[in-house]
Amino acid sequence: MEKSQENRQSRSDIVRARAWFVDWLPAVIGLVLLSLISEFGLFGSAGSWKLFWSLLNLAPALWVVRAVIRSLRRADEYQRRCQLEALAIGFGVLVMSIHTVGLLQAAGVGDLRQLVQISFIVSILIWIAALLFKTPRTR
Amino acid sequence: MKNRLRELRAMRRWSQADLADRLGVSRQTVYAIETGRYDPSLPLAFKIAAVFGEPIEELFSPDENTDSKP
Repeated sequence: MEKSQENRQSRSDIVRARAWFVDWLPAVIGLVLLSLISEFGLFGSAGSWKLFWSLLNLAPALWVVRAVIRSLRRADEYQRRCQLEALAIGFGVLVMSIHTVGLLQAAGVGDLRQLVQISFIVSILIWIAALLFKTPRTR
Repeated sequence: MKNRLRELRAMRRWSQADLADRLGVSRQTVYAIETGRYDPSLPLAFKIAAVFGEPIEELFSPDENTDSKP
């Protein structure tokens, strides 16, 4: 049996991967656009509309929650278990990071916005890393 | 839990992806079951038995450590 044939994805893998991409794409584009607007102070995001642009970040964040729930519902039983374990690890890291940020803020160290963003990004990266570690794709 | 998935799959010359297609699961799941990393649920175990046309007890058997696991 050819190796490429042996290693091909199953039909359900392909369907899930496509759906995952479609679910996540709008949220990723939204987050990138909002980050750029906020970073460069466009459309009043550094002035009177600051609160509006800050809260607008909730829209792609909610879209991510929707995408995660949908991907969990689509996953088969083994993938679901791996995803939940990885989510638990990511959540644990986030809780500890936010706790650390709180302690740092109490001591007057660091910028709150930056620390929260770093905590958020690191938690997501650890969640993804845990997922990749839990679900080896190769023999 | 020990299983004979790899052996039965090889007899039929199916790839892991072929078996995954028949079961409606990912190739990762087939790999995890074959290597003993994951014990399938009862519904999936019955589905596997149906795909191979074998009774479920011919496919899965407890290993020595099964009883001691929580």
